[in-house]
Amino acid sequence: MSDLGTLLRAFADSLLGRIVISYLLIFTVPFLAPLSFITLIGFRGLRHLFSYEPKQSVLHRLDPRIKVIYPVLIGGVSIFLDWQFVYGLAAFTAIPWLVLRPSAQRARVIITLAVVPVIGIIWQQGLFHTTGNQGHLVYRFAPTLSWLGTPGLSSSGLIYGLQQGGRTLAAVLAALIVLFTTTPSEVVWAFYKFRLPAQAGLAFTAALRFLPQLVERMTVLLQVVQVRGYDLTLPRWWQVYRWPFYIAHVIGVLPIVTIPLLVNALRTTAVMAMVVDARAFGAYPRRTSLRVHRIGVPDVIAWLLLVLVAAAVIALNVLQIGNRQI
Amino acid sequence: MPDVRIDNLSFTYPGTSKPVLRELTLRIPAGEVVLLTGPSGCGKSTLALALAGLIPARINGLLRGAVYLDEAAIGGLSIHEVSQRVGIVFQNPDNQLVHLSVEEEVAFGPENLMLPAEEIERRVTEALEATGILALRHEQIYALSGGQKQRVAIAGALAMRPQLLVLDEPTSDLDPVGTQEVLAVLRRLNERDHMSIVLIEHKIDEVISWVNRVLLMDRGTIVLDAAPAHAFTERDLWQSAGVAVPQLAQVAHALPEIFAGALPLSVDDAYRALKGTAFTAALRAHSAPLGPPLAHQPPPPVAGEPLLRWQGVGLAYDRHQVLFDVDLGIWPQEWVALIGANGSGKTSLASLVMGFQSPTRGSISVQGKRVKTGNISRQAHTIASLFQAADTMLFAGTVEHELLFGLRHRRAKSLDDVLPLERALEITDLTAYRAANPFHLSHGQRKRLAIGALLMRQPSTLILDEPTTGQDEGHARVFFQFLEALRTQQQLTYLMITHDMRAVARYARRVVALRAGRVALDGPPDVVFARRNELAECGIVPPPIAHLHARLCDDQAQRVALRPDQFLRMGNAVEVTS
Repeated sequence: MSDLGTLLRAFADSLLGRIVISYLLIFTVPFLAPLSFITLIGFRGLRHLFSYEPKQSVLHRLDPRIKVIYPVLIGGVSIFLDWQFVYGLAAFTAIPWLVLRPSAQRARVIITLAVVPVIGIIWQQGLFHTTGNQGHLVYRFAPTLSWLGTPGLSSSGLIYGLQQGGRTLAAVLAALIVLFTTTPSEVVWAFYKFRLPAQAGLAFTAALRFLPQLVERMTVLLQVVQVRGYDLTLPRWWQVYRWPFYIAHVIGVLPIVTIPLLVNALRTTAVMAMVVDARAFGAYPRRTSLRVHRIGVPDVIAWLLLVLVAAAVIALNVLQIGNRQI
Repeated sequence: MPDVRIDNLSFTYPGTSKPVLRELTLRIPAGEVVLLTGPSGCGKSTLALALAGLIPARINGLLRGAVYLDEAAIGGLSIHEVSQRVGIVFQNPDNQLVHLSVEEEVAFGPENLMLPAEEIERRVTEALEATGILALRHEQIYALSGGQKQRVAIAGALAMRPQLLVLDEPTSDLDPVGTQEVLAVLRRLNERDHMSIVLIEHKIDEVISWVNRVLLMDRGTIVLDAAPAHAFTERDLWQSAGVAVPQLAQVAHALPEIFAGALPLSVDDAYRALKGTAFTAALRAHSAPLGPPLAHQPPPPVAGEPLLRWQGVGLAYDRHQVLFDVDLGIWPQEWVALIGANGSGKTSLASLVMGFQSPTRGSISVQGKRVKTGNISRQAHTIASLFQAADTMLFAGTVEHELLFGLRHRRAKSLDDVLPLERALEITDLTAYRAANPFHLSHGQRKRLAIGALLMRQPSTLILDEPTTGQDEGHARVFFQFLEALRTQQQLTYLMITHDMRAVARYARRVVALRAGRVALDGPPDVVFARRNELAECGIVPPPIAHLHARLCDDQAQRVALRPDQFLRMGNAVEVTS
């Protein structure tokens, strides 16, 4: 066993071994990111990506204005906090998800959208946040990889990536709560109450409404090109000789399907614009609402929590305890 | 309710010289239900947009003349003022619903009018009641059927409290059940609330019995304006416009001694007139008695193995079972129609054989080879699929490039097994257009081009998904005749998914009806359409002539006539031509 260990160590120290390990370090994460997206969400899951999930929960009943303010506040305060506190903030944004208990399908979406970018950021900063002094390298890449522009995997880069990743994690977790628990009309109402233009609210609504349709049309178009003979057959993992052909074809199909997709989207938009006109949208500078939110105890508690978070962050910064170092 | 008056209306779209509407003059009294029909491109939809004030308010062009609601010219009103007088509903419900839930969608218009919450609530409830979807108030729109979505769109328009409702082919994307749902709502709105309705529709058979007036439009002008009972007297007008006269009207014309000039507008009317006559006695004498149930697969039309075979096929999405133990075979050169309500599993059954998805149990084979899921381009070598919107199948800049598209992007570059380009152009009658942009061709030419592109790899089978949806009878007939000639010439097998029962009756050699993921009926069209009650369980209404025949034989006929000429022959009457 010790012989095998020595052999492996010798290989790892050799130029070939270092090249192999370097390539693995560089390309594993970029490979895992789309793989996790395909595995956890998949093409069919795209339609649930940013869509409202009907449920009877306290978060669904909460004042839409709180839910619109919430990601803005979390995103804002995360900028001013040092990284240990950022992860405290991220833990705070995880609490609503524990209350909400989303379906398994949405849970997969949340994990993918929140965690995968964080891993990506940590990896990217680990590779490229190298500040001249190379003493902090966790692993030095083989010199044959100098064309990549990075000497190796840096510990300071990884820590910096961890900080940035925490900020992203907190912001994404907060933003997804709004999308999953708030209907478009509630968002429009909140926009209106914040004196933002109704058109912005309608654009938001339309985007959410038509995203699943866009995904379905894309699915149909991909089927159409294949029926027409365009080969998009996924090779088996061991059919290495077919992978370049497959990747080239996947890239090649994008401009082919994009134009019909756009044309179709424009046609749909034209009909929708006429419908919106025919329902008197924009006839008056203001609009009323069927459902007007009445402030309840959960809203008061939620507002207080948001104020407390803001106050705590200000205090941490003023007292020089949790203010951002880098 | 105001009268609608169209005064000398002409309209030309920008960039074109030919007017779409030509000096159109018309008056629609309050409370009238008007059927507006005519060939595709005759100007029906443009007239609908003008009635709703979207022309000239939102669509540019050269407009002459005016539309009046009583004394108010629509062109002089703002769009939100018009929207409270005229409601418009478009063809595709998915494109016209803005919100996610039914209540939000219906409330959207009144909210824009700045009405108080109590008034919005009242309007929403009334509109949902009028369209029979009050129970769906808190449902999410994506969970509704096509018919329900279209009713939401109508409710959204009704919440604006219009006096006139204009509907542009509201049922063309719907199955028979959805179509009946929508038509029942319109009928109730007119009968209960005396609402004026302008209904643009190709399904004349299904609406003729309750409209007050029929307008036939051709080349931008009204060529016929008559009460339904007199609308089909001048059959030449309908023929020259390429719109089919209802089957029952053809029968009435051929049997003047029975109908005495009165036109039957429904199967009930025709049944009452024909019941107890010598014609019916002869018809019954010619009709063999009903046989055993048809749930089992009929004997193969030719010896040998089927071309397409589903064996014990089941399909489920998560916990939702779509297909249950389907056993089905399709033999070479058959033309099989796959019918059933939306959600019955038709599209899933066809998508499995193309390899779009894999079954959760059972196996599917084409020409004796098991279908490999995901290997679609290879599968396209033996079986091809014409999608409902054929325009989405065109990607290239010229007809020639379009035909060669699949060959350029496949893995094997051998040209041994492909149809020569010249032959494909010849088959599709597009030789003169080989350098033309596909989108400069007519609708029929584009459909032929899409088929030609599929034929380049010489498949033995074509899946036709709603091949003529949204087309008028004349264009549909021409396309079906092309398909029939092609089938004979190229020895093709067709699997056609459709809601058009007249086309099934005329062209299919075999009908497979699905009910909730199971094969419920399987046999020749004249046998399947005799099973009126079993078809009703599948959400299918047979063509009027088959329906009438079955009723006159007290649902005991083994086979029914599929066309008026057959029906008349079986009753020993003179033959007619449609």
